[in-house]
Amino acid sequence: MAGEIVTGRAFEDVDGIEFSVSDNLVHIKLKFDETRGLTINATPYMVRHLIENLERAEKVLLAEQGAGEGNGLGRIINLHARVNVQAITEALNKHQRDRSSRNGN
Amino acid sequence: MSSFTDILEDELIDHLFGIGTYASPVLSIGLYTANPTDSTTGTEVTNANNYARTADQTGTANWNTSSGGSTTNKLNIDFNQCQTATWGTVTAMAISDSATYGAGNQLMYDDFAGVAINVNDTARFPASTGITCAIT
Repeated sequence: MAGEIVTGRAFEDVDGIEFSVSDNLVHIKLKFDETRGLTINATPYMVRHLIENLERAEKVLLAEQGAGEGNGLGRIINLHARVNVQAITEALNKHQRDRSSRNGN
Repeated sequence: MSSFTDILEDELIDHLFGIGTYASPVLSIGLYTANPTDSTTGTEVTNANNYARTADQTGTANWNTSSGGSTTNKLNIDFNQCQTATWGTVTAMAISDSATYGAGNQLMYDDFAGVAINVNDTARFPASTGITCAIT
């Protein structure tokens, strides 16, 4: 890919992204397939720059999709529920109430 | 607030006292934007935007053996990914005896802090901590 201008279409073809760090650089490898790829060697400043701009771009993209600014893109929303039942006392009390009701008490 | 619903309570009481037999039902989980109670069903997420109740969750593949009076879900319980438009703010879950939207009986429920489920979000009850059912 050396010397080629990578267009938006090419980025749509990205099949995987690998990250690694060495020599004070973050290596971002965009894999198009098993044999083709593009590696961006980013300085810490560039990483911050990318993050900030990608966050802005994400908001614009989501707004265009109708999802609204600030909504998640593929977020996992963890939910927690606890069904806590005092079953025996509840059951016995209810049974007692029903019996009383049937007995006209 | 959480509880078994009146329907399940009656079934269990009848079973316990030999009045009737209650066979293990389908257990399907739904999300609600208005909380159920013992005797009312609340408001389930609108049947659109890729929402659906979960598939049947019964069995040892899905639940840990009860210990100390409670059980938890073994695996992540994932809903479909929200698509097209928001599901709104979900504030409760209920386990019903039918996986079909709007069908069956609610068996138990719990409410929680409201969470907006927006486009592309996936609502999940995480394995081991997502759902606890305790009888104390």
